Amino acid sequence: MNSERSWDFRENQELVASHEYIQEGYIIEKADFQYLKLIKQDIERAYFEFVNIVNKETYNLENAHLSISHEKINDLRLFIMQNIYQNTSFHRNYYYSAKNIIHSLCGNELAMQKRPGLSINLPQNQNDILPIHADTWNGVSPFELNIWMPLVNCTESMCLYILKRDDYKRRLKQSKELLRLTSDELYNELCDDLTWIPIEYGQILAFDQSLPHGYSLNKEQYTHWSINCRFKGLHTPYWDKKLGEYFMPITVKNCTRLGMDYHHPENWI
Amino acid sequence: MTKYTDQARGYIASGDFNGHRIPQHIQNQIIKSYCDANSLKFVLSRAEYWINGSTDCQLWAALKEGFKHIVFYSIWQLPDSENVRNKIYDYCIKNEIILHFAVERMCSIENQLAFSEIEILIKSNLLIVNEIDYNNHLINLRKLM
Ligand SMILES: [Fe+2]
Repeated sequence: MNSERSWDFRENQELVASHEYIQEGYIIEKADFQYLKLIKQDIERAYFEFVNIVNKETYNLENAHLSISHEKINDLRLFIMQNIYQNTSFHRNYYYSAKNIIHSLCGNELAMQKRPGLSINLPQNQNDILPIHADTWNGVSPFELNIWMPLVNCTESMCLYILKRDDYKRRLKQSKELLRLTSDELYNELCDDLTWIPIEYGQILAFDQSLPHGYSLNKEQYTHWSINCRFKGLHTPYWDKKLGEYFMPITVKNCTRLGMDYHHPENWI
Repeated sequence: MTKYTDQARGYIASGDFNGHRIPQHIQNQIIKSYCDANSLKFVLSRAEYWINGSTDCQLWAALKEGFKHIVFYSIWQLPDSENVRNKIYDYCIKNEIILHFAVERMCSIENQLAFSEIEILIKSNLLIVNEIDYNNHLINLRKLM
């Protein structure tokens, strides 16, 4: 269909972003910094409270391994999550810091994950490895968009890795038995094709979680901190993660609200 | 008037609700851990009757007992009828009763706004579950693209 008769009215900027996302399986954008700053502040505040740091000037998130042991890391993670999900201001800031790319790739009438995930990977901590997986293998709908934000600059093994779409398709074709492997075996099998995505604080990563991804052992000298949160079109199919228990409706538009409440004037017949 | 301010009456389902069936002892465990996490004293649950599709008999019994908190296993145990739900919300606001939903980790904080958000959630879900036939919708949509 030529462009004059096309029904695809997406703007150019949106098409460019969509093309890159389809091609690579992810796209990196600038966060809206005024909101990102608030997200980081909330997390830092909870972290300082947990480790009881008074002199905040000399400590920062990337040096968390200096004040927290490998054994305590999960308690810290749970403490921070408990702290920041008390109300929805954290979620609001999260949405607004990534609104542009969410609207471009996903839509504007949205459901958002109620409890975004927090990753803290200490240097050389085996327990922080996130085995290779695709979320869609475990009941996550392929209509979801994962918005992933680093709170520190990430290089090399501090980064999230992903198997890009073309590589995934190629590997699936070559061997259909890959999903019978353990995650360690699968990682070793795919390792040479994986891409570690370097990213800085201030940027956001929108990625397709139907592609295999994970964290390898953090071999750098700094602690990795990131948050991930799923968004989806409110009216797109849900798989195992349902509205209410996992997602909340965040931008229900007026016409939808009116439509939900509509009643025929049946008494007048 | 509410008598027991930190006590929470559990409210569980017997049989199916929203397409699920959860054994009652599992529902109670989830409610208990919600209460522990939110500093509420869990008082044994009332189980809704499983008669003629009843959805609010034991709920009203629980509402009228005088507990400040009622902890549902899930938000999907609320009655299907919007009118009945509105009566429940009005009663809770008038009597300062807070409704909690353990699976969804939500509570009504006894104000109108919280109840209107609960309604948006319920209606969005009804829309998705009852009104949209995803298979046909997506097949037709693809034909037009
Ligand atoms: Fe994942």
